[in-house]
Amino acid sequence: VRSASQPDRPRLRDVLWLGVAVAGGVMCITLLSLGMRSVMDIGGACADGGPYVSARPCPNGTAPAMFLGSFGLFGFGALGMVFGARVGSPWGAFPLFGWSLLFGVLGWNFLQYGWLNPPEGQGVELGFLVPGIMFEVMAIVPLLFMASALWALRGYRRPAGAPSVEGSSAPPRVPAAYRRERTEAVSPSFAAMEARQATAAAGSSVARDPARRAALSGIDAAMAAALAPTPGAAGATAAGAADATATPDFQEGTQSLLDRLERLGDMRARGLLAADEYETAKDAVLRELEARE
Amino acid sequence: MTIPRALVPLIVLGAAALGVAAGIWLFGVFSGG
Repeated sequence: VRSASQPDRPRLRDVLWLGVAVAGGVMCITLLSLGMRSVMDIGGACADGGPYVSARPCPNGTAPAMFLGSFGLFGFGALGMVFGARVGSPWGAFPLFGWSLLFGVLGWNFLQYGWLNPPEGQGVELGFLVPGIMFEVMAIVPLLFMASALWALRGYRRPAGAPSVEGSSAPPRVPAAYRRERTEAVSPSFAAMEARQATAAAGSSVARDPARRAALSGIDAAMAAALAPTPGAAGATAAGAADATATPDFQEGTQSLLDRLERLGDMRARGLLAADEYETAKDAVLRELEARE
Repeated sequence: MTIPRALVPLIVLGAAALGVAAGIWLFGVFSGG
């Protein structure tokens, strides 16, 4: 955990462990490379142990070098990732360069022995040249990916006190335009639903559907009855606001108008009213409310 | 104890150089040279 007052200063202990991991990893790659060269010096293959006497025993030291080199890489790689992450971006990803270093170095050995500087009396050796090229490709292609990732992260530094990626429970902030585009791409029905809503808002579906038209005319009748001026409201306008608003009759009338507004909203929400129908009805109720005040 | 972030690349580079030296030395030890 980094100190909040010094968010940009890594701890010496973490940096030293990262150093141990880097030194160990590089040591392993060096051992592998030297072991490989010593085997290639005697033709590229050797054997030890077993019940037979090998025609080409391995050079001294190759076996421990190869063993330590290959297995040590895993251990030092893990160590480097843990302490690299503690040191902070981008050091957590630094051990990944070990891959490119390993294949770059071993591929170089292949190229040197098979093509650039073959042993005495030997021409270009395809058996070394082909793996050499392959190893170099394996080294360089990930480097390109990592370079582009580092380029994308240039100048990025997590703000002091902000949670790290692995510690954060909140989803990342996604631009609204991108989210919308993705939603439409993932769910075509979302776009279709929006189109339907736009049509409904235009109010054109009423004329096409007889059942709906009948239902609406029933609603119209109910609305007409509801909107008829109540005696209380008429009395209020005639007698003056100050006295009339205090009567229970007046308050009851206002409440019923508010109830009507609420019912209209419900009907709109359930799709019984199109947008313009709702607006017309709502305006009528509001006008009556205004007349009362 | 904390250190300035600018020192991290230097320490890592130094460690890498140390690793090469250690690898060469260790291979010498293994091959009995």
